[in-house]
Amino acid sequence: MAKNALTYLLLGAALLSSCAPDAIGPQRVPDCTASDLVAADTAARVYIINEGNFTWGNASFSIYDPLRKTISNNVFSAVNNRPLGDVAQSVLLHNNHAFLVVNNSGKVEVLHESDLTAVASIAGLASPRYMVEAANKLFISDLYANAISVCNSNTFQVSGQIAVPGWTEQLLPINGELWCVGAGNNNMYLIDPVAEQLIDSVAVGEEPNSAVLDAEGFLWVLCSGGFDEELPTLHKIDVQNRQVVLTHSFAELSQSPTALAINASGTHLFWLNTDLWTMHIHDSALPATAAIAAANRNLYNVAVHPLSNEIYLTDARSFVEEGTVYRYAETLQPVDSFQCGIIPGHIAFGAAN
Amino acid sequence: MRAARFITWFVLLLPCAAVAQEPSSPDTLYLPQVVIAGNEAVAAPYHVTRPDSATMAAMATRTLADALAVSSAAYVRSYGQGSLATLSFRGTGANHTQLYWNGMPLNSPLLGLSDLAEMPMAIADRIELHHGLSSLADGSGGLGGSVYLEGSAQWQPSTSVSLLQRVASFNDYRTQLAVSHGNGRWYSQTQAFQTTAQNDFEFTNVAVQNEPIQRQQHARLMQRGIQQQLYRNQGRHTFSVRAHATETDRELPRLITAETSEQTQQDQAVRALVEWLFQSSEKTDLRVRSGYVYHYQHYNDPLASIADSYHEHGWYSNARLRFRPLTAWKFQANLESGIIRGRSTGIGGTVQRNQFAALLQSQWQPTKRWLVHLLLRQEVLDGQAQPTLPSLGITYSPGLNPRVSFRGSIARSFRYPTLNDLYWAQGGNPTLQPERGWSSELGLQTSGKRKQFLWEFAATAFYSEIDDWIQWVPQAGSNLWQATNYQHVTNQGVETTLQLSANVGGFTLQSLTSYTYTHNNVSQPESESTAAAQLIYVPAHNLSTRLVAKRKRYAAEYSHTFTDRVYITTDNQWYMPAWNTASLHLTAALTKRNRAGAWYARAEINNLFNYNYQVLPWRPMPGRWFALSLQYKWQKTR
Repeated sequence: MAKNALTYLLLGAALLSSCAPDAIGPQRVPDCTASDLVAADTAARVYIINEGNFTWGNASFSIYDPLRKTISNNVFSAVNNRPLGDVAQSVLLHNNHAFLVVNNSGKVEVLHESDLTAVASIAGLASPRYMVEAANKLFISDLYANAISVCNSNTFQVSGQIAVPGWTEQLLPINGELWCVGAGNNNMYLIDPVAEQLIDSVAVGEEPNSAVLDAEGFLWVLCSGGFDEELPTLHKIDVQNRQVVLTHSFAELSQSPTALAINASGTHLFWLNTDLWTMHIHDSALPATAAIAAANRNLYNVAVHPLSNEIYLTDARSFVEEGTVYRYAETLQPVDSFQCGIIPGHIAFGAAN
Repeated sequence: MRAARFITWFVLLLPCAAVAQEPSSPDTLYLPQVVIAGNEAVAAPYHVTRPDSATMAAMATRTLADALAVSSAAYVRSYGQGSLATLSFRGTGANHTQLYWNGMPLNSPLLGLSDLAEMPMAIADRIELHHGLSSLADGSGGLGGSVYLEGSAQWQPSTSVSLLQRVASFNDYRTQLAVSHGNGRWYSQTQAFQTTAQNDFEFTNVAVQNEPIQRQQHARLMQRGIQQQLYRNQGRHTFSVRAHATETDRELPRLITAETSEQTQQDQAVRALVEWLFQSSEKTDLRVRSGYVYHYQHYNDPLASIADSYHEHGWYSNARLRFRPLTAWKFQANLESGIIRGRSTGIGGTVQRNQFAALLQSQWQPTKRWLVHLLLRQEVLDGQAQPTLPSLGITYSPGLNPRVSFRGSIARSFRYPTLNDLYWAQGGNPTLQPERGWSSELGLQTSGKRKQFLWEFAATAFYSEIDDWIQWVPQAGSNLWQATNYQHVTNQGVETTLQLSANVGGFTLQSLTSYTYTHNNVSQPESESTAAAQLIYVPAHNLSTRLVAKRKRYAAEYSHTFTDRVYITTDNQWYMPAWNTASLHLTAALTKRNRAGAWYARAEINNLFNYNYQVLPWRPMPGRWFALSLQYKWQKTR
């Protein structure tokens, strides 16, 4: 009798245990497979970083083919059979590689740009944000390290650090020097990439968040003003004499402009301030009306295609669902829209490589 | 063959549904005993779960999170071994479950929820889960339900000393000492415990290329605490003091997608209560309680240069008058007051809330078959009267053998915003309205006995609507998230429990199974894709079952939980897969009965089938692991 009882118990347990799924960790329905990858020419691709939620480990990477109007989501894990990591921040395309900066995983994933297979992972970073190439080296800004990391562009090993105080964001190589958005200390930092030294700084408004170089060689810096601390500002910097030559102040303390971008010819600035705004670099004042209204969208980032001048707007929606990217012609007419991963943010264009 | 047939039934009925009810003999610390509930002639018109003494005993060295995971079909959301764990009922969020200790709310007034991994089982002699609207008798805010912890005195003159040592995988050690003495007029119980664990289990890292086997790091846990209960019985008066202090020191491990973590968290809590109970007559009693709750938490992340802390103080008083003018009538009136104060780096200062509540309850049993329960709750918050919260429940019992009863109830529900929702420096919203809604349920309960076979089955269908559900949402055009009355949520589902017990061939066999089905409908402004989606972290199906076989001084217990997939994005595009876990526990009384000193031993195999699973994204759970406990108990009863 006891033997029978044991048999039935084991049978019951086996039945229950057979319910155990094979999948482990976050899954997507329906998921992308490697064969879904766009066959697009790498030069035509639009690379979209989906940040994912902080500590949820659901960052992802999408590729859009603007010719076929097709989107492939979750590309990194489909190709490499593992998740990208926690909070992806930005992507750099350089030397036939795609460098995916994964902020809260403290790493940069290096991929072959052609087939998107992982080549290496740059580890040992505190909280990496943006990456750029200069003087045949790779430089990585950081939220917490109080330093910009220097990385060998062949071995993908961190070779040194440049002490820079506070939180650093975008890096821009200009005339053999490197300008860096110093978000933590309200400065634009100037770095010698050869000597790997901080050589100067230019004070700007509260919490600079993005910068672009215009057609006339001036550097434009957008400052959000912090959390209702100061009026947001847009600065124009002469990079030769390292001085702010023009400052536009926004009208209200509660505004929080972000995501400064520039068109292909370097004549028109774009940014987000609830809606999408644009102005010519010679305009004497900030625009009074928005170029594209948010219209219940949670606009999160803007990028301008370096050849077609098409505008890509990301909508993070509620932040806890997949976002949408809207594509507009230079004339601001809608061209396409497509669903991406969670919190679509930074965008890079294969055409710029 | 008869025994085999019985066991077949046990196995076949597993997927149906169950939960144990009344506690059994209090001196049994290890060997499970289950008593079918229902001593009252007519059941109350609400769904209440009481983990049985076997569960309490089996989980005596564990946390409340571990105990509730195996004894109910409520959803326990765990960040991993030793890490934050919260409980949700009926498709609601963790902050819709209220936790009470001897009537005092323990949910963080700043965060709105309780970390059950920080609550040792030692702080309660009795646990009740009040599902849905039955939590209104405890307080407001339990839109999903409440967990009620209570201490109690043993008036039978006795002295006991118990020393327990548990050794588990991953360098997990727990020592627990309990000393109690009672002489019929006085009862004192002192408990002290300490747990240390490395939690350095191995797991397959599916988030890394080639899925290597890695060892969990930076997951050390230290928890210690002391509890004192003192009771004095003087004629019709009973005085008591209950207090405990706990300290928990945790390393927070990395996400397995990340390289490393240096995050740590320290928690310190002190809770104390004095009580006077006056039994005026057989029909009337008065109870007055006053207590203090303190919680301090410090979170540190050196890599991110984040160091946040908060302090919470709560002073609570509660007077209860019970009056039974007739056998068929019961009245109860409560007056409650509370002062809550919170200080945190996120708020940037100190905030306070004053609350007052009056509660009236009446229970009328006009016949043997009918019972009517009415409740009215009126709360005043910072001098402002809030809408009255009524509740009405009716039970009809057409049959007594086998016992069958039907019940139905409806109640209005409220949850006030947390202090963080209101006053967090960046995104707090002082204009927030409370979440409000209506809950209703219909239930069937039946139980019976045939020779050596006892059974009890209960099913409850619930439906609730919650409006102005508070959610932190991004504000257009800025990086600011703000607490907002955001969405309308409808919850509906079924809770079933099935309990079977039989004596066959010298074995006592028991099966306790509970199952919950939950379905949400969510609607919110300006978003089409999330309309009618299941809420995140709400499983549609949840099943837990326990099988116990006992013979003389030995017992074997198999428990199994199944949790369906949970969505982790509001558009239901991303989800965590369903997961199972099972355990096998063997217990033995090593000393024959009727001796003052006795040894007990318990061996555990947890995650029996070595499932690789995650409850939360990229937070690994341990594979198969083992524990061995040895207890010596000396008891002298006069």
